[in-house]
Amino acid sequence: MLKIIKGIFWMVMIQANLAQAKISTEKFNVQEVISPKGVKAWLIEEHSVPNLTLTFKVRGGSAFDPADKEGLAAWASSLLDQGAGALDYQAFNEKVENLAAGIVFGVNQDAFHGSLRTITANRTAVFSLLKSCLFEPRFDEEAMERIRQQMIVALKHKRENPHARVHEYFMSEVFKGHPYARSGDGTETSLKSLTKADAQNYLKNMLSKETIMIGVAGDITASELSKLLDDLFGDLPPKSGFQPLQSVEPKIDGQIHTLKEEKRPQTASIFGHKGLPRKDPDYYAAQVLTHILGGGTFSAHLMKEVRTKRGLTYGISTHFDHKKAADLFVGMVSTDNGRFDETVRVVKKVWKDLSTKGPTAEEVEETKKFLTGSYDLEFNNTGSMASVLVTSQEFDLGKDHLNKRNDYIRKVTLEDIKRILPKVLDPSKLTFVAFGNPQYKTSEKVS
Amino acid sequence: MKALFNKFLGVITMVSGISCSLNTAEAGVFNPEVFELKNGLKTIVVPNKRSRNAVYVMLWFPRGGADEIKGKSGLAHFLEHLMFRGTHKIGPGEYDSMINSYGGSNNAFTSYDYTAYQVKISKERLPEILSLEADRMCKRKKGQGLKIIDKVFVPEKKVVLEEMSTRIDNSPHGYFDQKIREKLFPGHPYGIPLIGHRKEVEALKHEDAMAFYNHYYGPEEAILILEGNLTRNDVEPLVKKYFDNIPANPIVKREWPNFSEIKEPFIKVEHPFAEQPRFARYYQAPCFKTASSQDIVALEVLEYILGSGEISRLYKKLVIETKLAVMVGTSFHSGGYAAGLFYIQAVPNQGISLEQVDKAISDVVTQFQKEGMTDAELMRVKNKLLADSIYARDGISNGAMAFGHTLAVGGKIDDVEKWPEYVKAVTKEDVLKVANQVFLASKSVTGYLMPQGAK
Repeated sequence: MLKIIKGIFWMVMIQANLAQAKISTEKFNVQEVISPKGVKAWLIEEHSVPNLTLTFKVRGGSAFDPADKEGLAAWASSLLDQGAGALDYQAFNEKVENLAAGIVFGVNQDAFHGSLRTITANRTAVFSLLKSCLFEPRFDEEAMERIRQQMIVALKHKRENPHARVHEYFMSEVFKGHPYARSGDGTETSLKSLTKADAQNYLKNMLSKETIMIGVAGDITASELSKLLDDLFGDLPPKSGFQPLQSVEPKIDGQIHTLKEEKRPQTASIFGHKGLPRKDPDYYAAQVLTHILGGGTFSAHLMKEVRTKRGLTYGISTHFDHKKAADLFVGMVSTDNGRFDETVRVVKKVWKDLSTKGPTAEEVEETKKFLTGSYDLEFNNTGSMASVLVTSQEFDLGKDHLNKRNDYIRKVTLEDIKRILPKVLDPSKLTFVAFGNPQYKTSEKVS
Repeated sequence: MKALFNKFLGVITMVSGISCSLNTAEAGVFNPEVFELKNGLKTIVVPNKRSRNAVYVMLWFPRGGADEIKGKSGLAHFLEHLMFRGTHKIGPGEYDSMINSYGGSNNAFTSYDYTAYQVKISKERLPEILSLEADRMCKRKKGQGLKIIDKVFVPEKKVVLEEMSTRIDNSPHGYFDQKIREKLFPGHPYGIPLIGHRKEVEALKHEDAMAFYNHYYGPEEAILILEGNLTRNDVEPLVKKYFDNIPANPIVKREWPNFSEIKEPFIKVEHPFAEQPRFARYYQAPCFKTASSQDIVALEVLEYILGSGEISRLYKKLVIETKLAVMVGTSFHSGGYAAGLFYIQAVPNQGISLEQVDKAISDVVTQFQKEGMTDAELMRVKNKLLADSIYARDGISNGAMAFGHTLAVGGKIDDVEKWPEYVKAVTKEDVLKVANQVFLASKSVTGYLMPQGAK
């Protein structure tokens, strides 16, 4: 960064900067609300706009789909807003729109998640609508068939999309034999086998007071929330019907795995190896290090070498993927088929160089400034505030994580990073999974 | 099924990294403060408490792909990329690294009608950001502003060509959209691919980018928007300090041809990676230049009643009742200077032909034109749209986006600010009137996307 301070122009700027460089970091007041029936939620009150968001997460995603019933969690969760209690599909949707509510459900491999947004005036009615979705879904015949059909057609759409294809192939290679290897979207055969009893059973197993994590942000006080929480989740069953998944070692072999589709003009690739667990004591040092490698900003080594210098791609970045039963460190890139070989060579070299030489002291300081500064700028809407409260519960980071996180980053030193290099980056294990028609000379595994 | 629904739709006008809705439907009353410098630069300050210490800075140049000269397609978007690659004062990459060192993030996007640059930054860093933006604004003086060197021009062009592969060649949907626009706006720049024809992008030179920059990147038409916990008093001295001395360029008049007659109202498009047929019908629609603000809002209501959400007319008929489609939706974009766009898209169910879907959609539209809507429908849509003006303030960028999209194409501050009033005032007759204006066979193109070799 020192090289940019040049000429009168910047001198003026730097002075202005010094005059005002007192950065205010307003802390969040995160409250723990426990309702009389024992439902726990974390809350950030913010009253400047009359609305709120509630999000929650519960163990029980698509990795829990029974064998031959792939797609069950996705199908069942899609059915929850298709009619509930006395309201059929039409009446339910009319009510949602009249209340201007947003009620959304979804699943990933590990968990079911839901969110509710409402304006303050309609709060009580929207909470009770969410309750009826979870406790009295109708699973009407028409809706079950319609959603099934939509999901079957969506499978074809997915086949058109190179990113979806390479991701599915990556999971199937790296987690062969584990539920993570299966697609949560199901197959035409598995989707056709799903029944109402399956959906009811899924819901019964999934909903539990034991595994639910709730975050709320916006225009509501703790005592108001406490009452609504009791109404909404007070009668959840105490225990989850889903046991935690067994940990799994990802199959990482340092090779290139290819799924060929010859006419594709580009190769989409996911690359990476094992990642550090979220609770590892070196996690924050690893965040600084991996941001320098592939944080997605233009100063990241991968972006500089692959995009800026050589024009090999529109974008390249890496991230930790923390699953409940495995931790990965992966990146993504799309490049011309004929330049895939060069891309792989450059990525490997960048990985190796950083893992042997480490970053410079200046890079570490600049990255710490970015990571702390950008964290201070996040959380400007109730959705992102509620989500981070759920994530903090999910990884057991503490109620005050939002306020403490930047201190963890600030404490990271160049020595910490040098110490953890071999623990975080392993060029010998760097594995590429590619979809398209990649041309390369390096040893390959083709399926 | 909302997530699935979103996957199918998606916005297609933007070329660069972000995608966002062109629709100003989320705008409510933001209570902005506005001032203008003598060189023409307009500044809009949007107060926003929920943003805490963050400020969203947008600089809009109301020129884009439609302002390219013939044979230079893709230039506006390419220039957008080059704007991050150095000026006479700061070297390639330093713009990004400075912003990152402040914890900020930045991006940009290009449309046919405008190019916009955005930065999220902490309030204390506003002077530095305004200084950076002023530095890369065009002053038409030697040794100032954008500097393009071979070392960045050559690889950046490759980046843009890779982006083209990702967005068009490797995407049936992107390709399909481009083909329909070509037929909908024949002889007009709106019909030329925004990201450019590959051969023309390959042939672009430094001088082309500099010429576009010199014509359109001065302060005279630019709009600076600052959203955050700020007031005009906080920012006006800063804006003056950095931008006041930049001279205005003469405004280049838009010399776009009129829309020619649509010669091919129907096309079949094949794509090697299409696995699932799709239906689309695009209509040339009114925009701020050609319609009243009340009519623009009536079109938003029409879009909603006909095809937004799961109890819209089209969804109910095609997806719920007849099972001809698994998805159908409408979208209205008022955001063009010369025209808006209204489109209907659908994905047929298995075993259903595109012709069947086409006919069913036409029937619903015709029936709507005959019968109009019910009071209950109108009430429901109004409730929903009015609540959107509250939700719009739950976030840091919605105000900036709404004002930019509106003002860059000839709309006014009040089109955003008085939006709830327009919503309240819409009548069933208004909606029917705009439906009859927009649903004209002579102003539409219907496309069928088919897997390659399919009949």
